[in-house]
Amino acid sequence: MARYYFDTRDNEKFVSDDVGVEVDSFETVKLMASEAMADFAKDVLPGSVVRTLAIEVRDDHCAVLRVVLRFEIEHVLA
Amino acid sequence: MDITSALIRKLGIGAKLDDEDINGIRSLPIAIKQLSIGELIASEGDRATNCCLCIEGFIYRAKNTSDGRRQILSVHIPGDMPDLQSLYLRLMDHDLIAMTQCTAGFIPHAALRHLVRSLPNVAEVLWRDTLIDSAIFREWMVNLGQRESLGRLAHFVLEMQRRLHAVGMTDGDSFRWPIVQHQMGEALGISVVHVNRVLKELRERGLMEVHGGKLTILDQAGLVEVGQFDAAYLHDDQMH
Repeated sequence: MARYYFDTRDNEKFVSDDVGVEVDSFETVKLMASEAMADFAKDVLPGSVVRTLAIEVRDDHCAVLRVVLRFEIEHVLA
Repeated sequence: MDITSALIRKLGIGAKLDDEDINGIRSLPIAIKQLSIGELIASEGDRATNCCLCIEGFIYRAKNTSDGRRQILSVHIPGDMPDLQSLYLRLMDHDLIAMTQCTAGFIPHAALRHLVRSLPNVAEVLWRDTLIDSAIFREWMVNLGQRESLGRLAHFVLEMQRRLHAVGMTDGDSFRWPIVQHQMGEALGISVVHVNRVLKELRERGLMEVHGGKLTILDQAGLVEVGQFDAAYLHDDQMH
């Protein structure tokens, strides 16, 4: 078990995770980051036009994973 | 403290219990047990023969999906009988688990059945209690289905505050909060990482904070607004 920290970035707003979570494997870390991204997106995307969300995972030593979601609404002329 | 005092206090909020009713509840044969954190009190599929009364600590109901995910259905505090419905629905359709170290009382179904048959007033208040239990479930459905995470967590916290207050378990704006992040996630249908982020946002907005197993509400009105909290569904504010 290792402790991982899931920092988030919403456009330029960075929120660090100062608590962290104990996770049993790196596969689980990827799954957790993906689930967190889905929750994050559901909360903040409605009403947005252009938005980039990121979840940056680090362990006690260094960055280990980055999940990015870019959202954009384009008007299409008929 | 009398082992049934929180129960009697809670049942007496919305209905009049006379001395005979109170004595009837007090003289129930209750087997006291100490439970450790995470101890399974009843499992889905069990056939219940007694009902559990939460005397001290927190208990929760949960259900697992076949792919191993868990939904926490409700969180129970002293005075609650989380499996009261097993008196008539003996097959447990969910798990009942100790969230903290607990003191719980176990009341044989036969004794409860005898009580409700001999004291119609007690039957009515217990019925009323199960109706409030289902009102809470309706509110949770709205909360999980319609609110974004920040409001969802705020609503959950405000409900717990109100219910704890009703049994005298709040200390000003603070109360015991043993519900860890992954359990909040399981109760609210959001990932543990997102719970962590939402808690931080609530703290940074000056609304509430969780520290050392205790939750403190910093801005009651602000939290009520974020959680769109209207306590009417708890039916705890007047005698009917």
